[in-house]
Amino acid sequence: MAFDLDERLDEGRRVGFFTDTSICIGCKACEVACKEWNHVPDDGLNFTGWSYDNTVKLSADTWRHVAFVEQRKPLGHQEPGVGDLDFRWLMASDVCKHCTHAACLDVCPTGSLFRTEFGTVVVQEDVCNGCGYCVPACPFGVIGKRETSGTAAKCTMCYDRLGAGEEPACAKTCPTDSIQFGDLDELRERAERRLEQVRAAGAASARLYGHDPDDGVGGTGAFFLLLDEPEVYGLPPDPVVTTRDLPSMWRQAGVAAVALLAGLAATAWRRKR
Amino acid sequence: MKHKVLEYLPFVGIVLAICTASWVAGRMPAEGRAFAAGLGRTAGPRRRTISR
Amino acid sequence: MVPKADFDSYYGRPVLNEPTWRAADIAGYLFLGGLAGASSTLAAAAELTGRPRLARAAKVGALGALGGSLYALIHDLGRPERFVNMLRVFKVTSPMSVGTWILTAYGPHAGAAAATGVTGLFPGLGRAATVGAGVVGPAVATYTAALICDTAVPVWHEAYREMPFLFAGSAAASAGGLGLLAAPLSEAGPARRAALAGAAVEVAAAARMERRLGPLAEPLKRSGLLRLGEALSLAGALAGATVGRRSRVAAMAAGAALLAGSACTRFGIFQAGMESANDPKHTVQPQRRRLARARAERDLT
Repeated sequence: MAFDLDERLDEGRRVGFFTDTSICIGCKACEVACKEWNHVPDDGLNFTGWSYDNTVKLSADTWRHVAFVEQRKPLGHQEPGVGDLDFRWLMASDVCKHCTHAACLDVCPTGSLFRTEFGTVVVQEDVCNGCGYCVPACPFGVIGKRETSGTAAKCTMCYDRLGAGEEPACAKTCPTDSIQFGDLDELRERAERRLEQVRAAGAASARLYGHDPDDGVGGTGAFFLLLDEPEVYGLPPDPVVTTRDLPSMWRQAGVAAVALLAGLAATAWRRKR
Repeated sequence: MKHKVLEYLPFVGIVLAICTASWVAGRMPAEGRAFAAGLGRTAGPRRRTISR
Repeated sequence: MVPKADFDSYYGRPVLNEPTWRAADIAGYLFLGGLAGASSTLAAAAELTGRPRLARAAKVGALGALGGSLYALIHDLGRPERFVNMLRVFKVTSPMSVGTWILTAYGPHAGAAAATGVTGLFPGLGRAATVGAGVVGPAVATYTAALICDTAVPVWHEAYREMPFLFAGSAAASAGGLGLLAAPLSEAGPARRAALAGAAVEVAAAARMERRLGPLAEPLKRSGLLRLGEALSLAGALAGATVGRRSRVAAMAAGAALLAGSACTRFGIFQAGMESANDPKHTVQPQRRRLARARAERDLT
């Protein structure tokens, strides 16, 4: 339950993604592998003019999205052999975060969204009635409603492959191991080591994103090593699970309801003569 | 644009229907109810009698 | 292409996914649910104080608004035939789940109250159903505030303190408006007072909300629908309380203005939320300010 923010998932059995964006080469193999394995329908071929990104965003029909950012900044100790170069090209493969405190799961009124034995969050397509509540609940803009089926859809971390002891399609196909799959606690340790390495190489702006179990969503199952502020990649800088404030919301709504009852009763106080 | 207007038609129709039904209900006689008293008043003994 | 702002974003794209809710359905439901709930309470109050025609008009109005609510809610589903799936579970973490059960409890009461009120059959049962619907009604009218506030949509979420009061006021104003429209002048006293108090609470809650949200209130302040809603509600309430006491036609016009005002307010709130979800600045900047505040507090200790 979201009201118990001290709740911890059984981290020992929880799996996740560590996406190290410092070694992403923007090949989009993860996008393709995800589409193919999960039969995710196409969602249009559009030209945006945003560097190499024509995928635009995560949605019901896009479960991996590679972001491309071109910046007039040097990248660490870069020795390109062409003199000084103040240019860096950030690439990052975004995905559902599989939050510890998942708002989509909390607000789902049918129980279609559920927490799996791997600690991931999955939509049961045959239960979802397409109410769309999970869409505005997600603080990362991940989940969407699929036009063709009328139901919600998002990354399942390849639930079927996990059950067979396989790693998710995107991680399997990633040629540089920018996307790493594994036990979450082990990934977190690996990420700390990698962060030190990247910083030592001169990328002072490197930071981990989503690794902290004390953040607003209780830490994410899919976390990242970023080279700039999260919002540069289209990620929220301080996401909070919306249900954190729900007890206060219910209290306010309760007080308002009692006030409405009392107020309307008072309007008829004097008996009609 | 036309499509957008069409989207709001059911809502407007529902609100108008609510207002009409409520207005009719408010005009029914105070003590009377459609069946209990309303029929009693209009369908007096004379109306009930079948005359040839 | 994207204007230079004092914050970073990914090509100016929103961080959040836009709600898939259609305005005509969901904003319409916010209005109809409020009208139904508050009308049921007004009906119970009128019935218990000897105003049978106001009570009957409000009961019929509540049942109609409930029917419209159910139509809108089911019409907005991606898979309408699966709406019963919401009766599989009860989740206090999901205002939509709680609301489904509130409506399930409220519906039969409102239906029985209206049916017995119109036909005159089973007066004892009718009285019980009227009181039952009147007690559950305020929950129907205010839970919808928790429904939209329990999202990541910046304006809705941050406004959660005032939203239930704004909705309660708007609901009372619309129920009062329907009473003014439908009940005879001699019985419309409670409707006039409900409209006046409701409109005042609605406007006060909106003003407080806009003040407290600071820069985030921009979509609310810019909203023509909200201004129109406030103007119609206040004008209708004042007209109802003055000329509406003597003239039936004036009372009906005041009632129509109140209903339109409440609807404009709900559509305005809905629209402002959509705008805030679609502007990355409304997602990023408040979170940046929160982080800066937390850092400052850490540095102090």
